[in-house]
Parts: sequence; C-alpha cells; structure tokens
Amino acid sequence: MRLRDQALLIDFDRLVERTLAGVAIAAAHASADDFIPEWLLRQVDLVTQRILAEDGEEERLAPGAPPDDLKYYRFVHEAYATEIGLVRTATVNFNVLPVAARRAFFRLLVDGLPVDDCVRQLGTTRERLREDTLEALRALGHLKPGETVGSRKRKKRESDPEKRKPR
Amino acid sequence: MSDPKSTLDPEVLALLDEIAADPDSTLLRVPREPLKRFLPLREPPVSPREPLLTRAERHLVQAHREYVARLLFDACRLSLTRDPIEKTRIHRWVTKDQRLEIPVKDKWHSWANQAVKNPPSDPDLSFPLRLLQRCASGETSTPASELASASLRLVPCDATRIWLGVALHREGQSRSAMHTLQDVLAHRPSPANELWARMDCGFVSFGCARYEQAVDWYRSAASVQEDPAIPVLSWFSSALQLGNREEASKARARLDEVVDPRHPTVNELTVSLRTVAPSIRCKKLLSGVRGKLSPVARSIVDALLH
Repeated sequence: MRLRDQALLIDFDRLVERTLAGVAIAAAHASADDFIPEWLLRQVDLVTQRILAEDGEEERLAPGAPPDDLKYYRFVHEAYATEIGLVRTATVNFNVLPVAARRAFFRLLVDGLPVDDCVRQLGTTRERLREDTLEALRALGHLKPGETVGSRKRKKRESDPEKRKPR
Repeated sequence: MSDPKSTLDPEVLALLDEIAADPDSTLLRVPREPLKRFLPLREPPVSPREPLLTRAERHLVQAHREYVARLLFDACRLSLTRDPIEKTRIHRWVTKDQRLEIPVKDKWHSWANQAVKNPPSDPDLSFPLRLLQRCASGETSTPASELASASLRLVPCDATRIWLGVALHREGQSRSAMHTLQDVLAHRPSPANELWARMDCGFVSFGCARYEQAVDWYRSAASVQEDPAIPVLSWFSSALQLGNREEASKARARLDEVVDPRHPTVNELTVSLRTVAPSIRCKKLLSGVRGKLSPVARSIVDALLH
C-alpha cells in the first residue's frame, strides 16, 4: 500500500527482506513502550528511504553501469521493458521524479485508467498528465531527453523518402 | 594454549603447555593482543559484501550498519537543534516524502545505550559505536559534523550529506559546507533533498553575508517540484531585506499564488523577522510597497518594520 501510494519502483522481495532485517535489529534495541503500531510503519518507511538512498549511491559510484546483483531490478526489465543493462539507472531516475509524475505513470500506464479518470483522481490537467507521463517514460529509458511521443517515428519517416506520403 | 580452534599438532601443544607451566617462562609474558594476530583465535570479521554470508545474513549486517548510522545521524540533529533558531528552522522541514522527525533525547539515549552494549563482529562498526558511546555518556561534546561524517562513512546518503553541510556551517566551516551541499546537487538528488540542499545553500550564503547569492539560492529552491511555501517565503523575505525591488516583486507574485496564510511557517518567520534590524535600503523599499499587499506579504513586511 505504501509503495503504491508513493508510486515507487522497488522490488517487493527486497523491501520485505530488508524490512525483516531492519525490524529484527531495531526490535533488539527497542524497549517495550516503543512497540506501537506506528513503530512498524516507521521501520518500513526508513527501509524504503534506505533502499532509495542505496540505489542512488550505487548510481553515483558507477553511473549507467548495470547492478552487481540483478535479482532486485529484473522486474523493471520484465514489467516496464527497460533494457537489462539500464535497470538500476532507470530505477533511480524514476524514483527521484516528483511524486506527481510517478503517480501519473502508474495510474495511466500500469492501472490503465482512462485519461479523464486520471486527471480527476490526481487533480491535474490533461497537459500536465501528458508531461508527467512522458517524463516517467524518459526516466525508464524509453524516450531520449526532450523527445516526445511520436517524434522518433516522425523523424524516421521524414528521413526515408520511400515512406514519405505524397501530399 | 590448548584452544579448540587451534590447528597446531598435539605434540607441539603439549610442549607449549609444559613451557607455559613454568613460572619463569616468557611465553606467559607475551601480550595477548599481538598474539591473537598470529593465532587463529579471532572471530572472522563480517561485512555486507562477504561472499560466504547468505542473503539474509547480509541483510542483517547491512541493517545493523544502517541502525548505527541512523543513531549517529539523529545524534548530529539533536546536537544541532540545541540552538533554538536552528531548531525552528529544522522543524520546518517536514516534506512530503521525507521522514525527518527527530527523536526525543531520552529515547535516543536509551537506543544508543542498547546499541553499544555488545561488541560488534563488523569491524567497520568499532569506531562508530565508540563515538556513540562517547555521545551517550555525555562526557565530552562531540562536534555535530563528526557525527554526520561517521554516519556518512558507514552508510552514505544525501540526507546525511545535507546535515553535514549544516553542521559544518554551524562550526564555522562555510566553504566546506557549500562544497558538501553543492555535491548533493551535482548528483541528481530527490526533489525533497534538492529543495533542502538549495535552501541550506541559501542559509549558508546568508550567514556569510553573500545576500544576493542567498536570494538566488532561495529563488532556485522555489522552482523545485516540492512544497514551495517555505522557499518562497525565504525568497520574498530575503529579497526585502536586501532591498531588491524587482526580486521582491517576483517573489511576492509567487507568494500570493502558493502560500496559504495559515501555513505554520508564516507565523514562525514573522516571529524571527521581528528580531532583525532592517537595512536602510530595506526600509526604503518597505515604505513603498506597504499599501498593496496580500495578507501573507503584509505580515512579513510588518514584521520587518515592527
């Protein structure tokens, strides 16, 4: 629920495994009055922040390089068709986008909601939704910086005289 | 000498035991610490990258490091918030996707005392735990920058770099503070960290009397896609203090657009601005704009004129 609300790309197994370890360590140092329901949610939030920071740090050390262990990034390739070598870079780029852009991508392309429903649910405009979705696609490596949907095909068509339609 | 972990031949061990039994033997006078280096008595050190560990064990080692790093990070923030002005400034930073609550001091002490009880198997935790122990005992005051640096060495992340920047500035190392904060900005930070780093660059510049630079930083912070209320308020108030009419006018337009008069920072800012003595340029500018202002802008101008 919390991952969905924040629209973050994090492997679920990674979050669960890391949260179990985080809770084990924090619980060993906590006192009885620490164990309130919010404590557990706070541990999940801390682990989520740590995973985001960890990805960011690895990207900082080796920008654009594939991750050492693909296990936790494979879903980005399988679910969002990002090239396998770019999965960590794409994850970092996506997760540092403003939350509005991440939510736009999830509602429109993952949940498959109609545009008008997305606009209403997210309290945005059609133009903003379009910009946010393009930004998310760029982060995932599907568009070049500045490129908009269709411009790649249009350029190819224009450079190929055989495919150019007669006016 | 007959340690079960030893791989020495039993005959050799028996001989060593016989020699050690002699009160004149120098073998007994060998200090234990250097001896450990040459005998297989040490427990193997662990690290998150140790190939022999299972994935679960690696998660545990990493989680332990993160726990200690977090305690050091909180110690740094607790140390900085002893200053009431810094406390107000820091408590403004509760942004949408960043968990920034600072623990109560007593709670932190209880967690830190628990953490330092057991000696670590991870050699990288030795120094950080000694530092924690020093802080928890309260014997000496550890500089906030030292705490943030130790946390950063253990688990690097932008949030700690930003606090290190604040700590360095507080300790009079403004050039290093700017370098640290700009390093965060150079590596594609999250919107919350970007906003925070830009605001702190403005704060450091203001502290160094580089007022125009400070206004530039606040303006750039207001353009980050995060909650713009705090940077816009800082942008407007700093432009007024500088007496820059054009900048103040741009900031006021944005302020009227994005800042709710009930935003808690409006009140905090007006309280802190009442302690500032406005410059002549500022007074001149304020007297000209007073009549045509929104409620938020008016409260800031009034606070500066007090």
